Amino acid sequence: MTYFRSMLPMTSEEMVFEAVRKCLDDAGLDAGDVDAVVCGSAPDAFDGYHHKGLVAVEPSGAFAKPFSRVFVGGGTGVGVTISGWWHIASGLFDKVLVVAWEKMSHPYPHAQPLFRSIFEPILEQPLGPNLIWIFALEMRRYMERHRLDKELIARVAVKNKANAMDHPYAQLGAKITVDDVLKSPVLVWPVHRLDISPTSDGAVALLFASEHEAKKITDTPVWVDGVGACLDSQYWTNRDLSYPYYVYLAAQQAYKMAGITNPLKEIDVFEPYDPFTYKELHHLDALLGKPGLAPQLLKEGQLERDGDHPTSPSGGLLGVGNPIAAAGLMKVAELYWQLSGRAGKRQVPNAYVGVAQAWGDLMQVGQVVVCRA
Amino acid sequence: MDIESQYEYPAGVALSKFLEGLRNGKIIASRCEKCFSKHVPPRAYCLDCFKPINEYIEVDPVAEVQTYTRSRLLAVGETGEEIVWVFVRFVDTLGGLLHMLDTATTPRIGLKVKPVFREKRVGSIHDIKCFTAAD
Amino acid sequence: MTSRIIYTHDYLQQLPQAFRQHLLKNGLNKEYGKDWEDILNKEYSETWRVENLVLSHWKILCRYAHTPGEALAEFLVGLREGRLLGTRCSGCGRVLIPPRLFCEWCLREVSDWVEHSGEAFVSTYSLAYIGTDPGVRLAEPNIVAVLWFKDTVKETPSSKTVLHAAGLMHMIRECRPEDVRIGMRVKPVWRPVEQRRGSILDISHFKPAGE
Repeated sequence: MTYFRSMLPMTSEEMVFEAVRKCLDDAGLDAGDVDAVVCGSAPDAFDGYHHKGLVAVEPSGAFAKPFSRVFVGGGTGVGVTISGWWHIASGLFDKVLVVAWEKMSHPYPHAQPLFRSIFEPILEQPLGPNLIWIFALEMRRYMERHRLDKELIARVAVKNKANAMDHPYAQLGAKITVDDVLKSPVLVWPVHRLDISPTSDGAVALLFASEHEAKKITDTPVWVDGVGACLDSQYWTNRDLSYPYYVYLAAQQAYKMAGITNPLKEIDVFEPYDPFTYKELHHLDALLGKPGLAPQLLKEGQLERDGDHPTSPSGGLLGVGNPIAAAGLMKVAELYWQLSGRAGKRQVPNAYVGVAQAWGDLMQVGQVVVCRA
Repeated sequence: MDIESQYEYPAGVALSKFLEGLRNGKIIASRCEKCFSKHVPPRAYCLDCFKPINEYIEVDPVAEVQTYTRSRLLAVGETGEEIVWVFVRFVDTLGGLLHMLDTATTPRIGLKVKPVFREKRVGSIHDIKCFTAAD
Repeated sequence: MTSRIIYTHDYLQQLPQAFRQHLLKNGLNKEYGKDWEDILNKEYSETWRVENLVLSHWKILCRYAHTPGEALAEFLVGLREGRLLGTRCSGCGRVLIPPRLFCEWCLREVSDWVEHSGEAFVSTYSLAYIGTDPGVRLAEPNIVAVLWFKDTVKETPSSKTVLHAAGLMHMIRECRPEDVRIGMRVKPVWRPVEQRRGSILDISHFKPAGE
């Protein structure tokens, strides 16, 4: 992967090349060894030129090969992973490169006006919405259901930004306190500035290989054991926002494939999607299938890297950064590093099974992948 | 409903070199250290060797017209004077540029052309005013 | 050392008159520039170094006219008349607001229209201290809420998990921010008839219904 930064001076094409070249070097392969490429990136509006998937063709070595672009909103980073797995599992390809990138520094002065256009145009846009509204509404409902206070939720930012200090490519690794989060400006209550992940530039690439090829490439392969994907209704005002049932269903699909019946016991590393502080808990609730359990675990300190249920040991989107599609794939990359024992200072002891999840659109996309050492 | 968005693009590793070259009145190519292929506009990596490129050289400002078209259309719904648009490739390099041909030159595929630089240059593709017949 | 950043908005001066006018009309002559100098002094790539970075600017303006479709057109006409309309699925019995002509649960056509009194309660809310443009900070926050309409909630019998509720996102006013509660009863405040134009804003806002 490349550095995650608020702005990178490279073009999208150059960022993709850097991530892909590092991935191939790590695998001891060259572009010619790859059979197909799956890429992922957010809507073209962020880059400001259309059909931007094309910029990834040459720097991913996809020229004259099957190449596709996957888009499932913020869930794209894990969506490309699932698509990469389909390519291999179908038996059609032996080596598939999966790459995701984002360049959110292009829109001037900020990407926010583009995010706003995800709202429905007839009944919602006239109210003058701001993207943060939906998060604040969801967070408030979540807090009400489980009687959570802001102090507890703020600990997610403290934990993830501290974890990110050990991530060599992180944008916002920092030692902060709960007080810092609570004293940062309120944007849309209950969301404070430090509850939110940054906008970022960055690219991540991973190589997927069939069983017999993987063993030739490395002695420590990490296997994709289960995948799941689920969408909820776009009529989000008709749903209860306090529990992401769609993430639960996606997780159940993945667990069924992976033979997991008790996720809390059987999974060693969790990488739930954390664009906002409460989101990590909200999603972890669904990954564990128990509404309200994640905040409990957080309170007991079990989500720390040295706790019983390490969650976002990478530093997550809050710490490493949030270049939309690349952020989700960064979480899968973290599973690879953790489960192959290559996570360095971030290494979680005895990590054999991990789950990564991404989320997106108008609070409706659940994408889940389970990996095993 | 309007969606209005403004963008600020960094030209990146390779095109920054190129645009800076234009500002200095030069055509800059990238050269792969392995296969020696030259690219105008330059690229930050070699497509064939799939390795990063860090070498940039100045090339002769002589290019060959690959194809051309004539257009009066300036932007959506607007017409102006006819412009001959040419796609040119610099001699002994890969890649190519889209640009205008000066009105005095009759376009022809295979025609050798050279860039006409402006006096005041800022680091943009418009530092080349147009292409004109070489000799 | 001089700046390592080269801005190219000056190129407008180089252009033929007609080009220039087109671009000026779209506001491309503005001053831009973020803190790129700072970026170049930090780690940003393990592959390349950029000595001088060239920046350029562009703008895209997309103008859309959205058609509401059959169901929402009916809904908007209703709003203009001061009536809150929904549809009802004869399969699952749900009241659908915003209305649709199909039921996404039963995947069947829906054709029964129902009128709702507009009495609702707060499903969730937030206090927006920033405007549509995040750069604008509001002195008094807007209360943004998801409102669920009375007697439209479908729950699981055992856990009381809400499976569906007819609901809209809208603003709450005539209420202090600190007094809003989840579950609070509210009712719509309609704009005067002559100001209504078949829009969601024909409901000016929702206000506490009192007990």
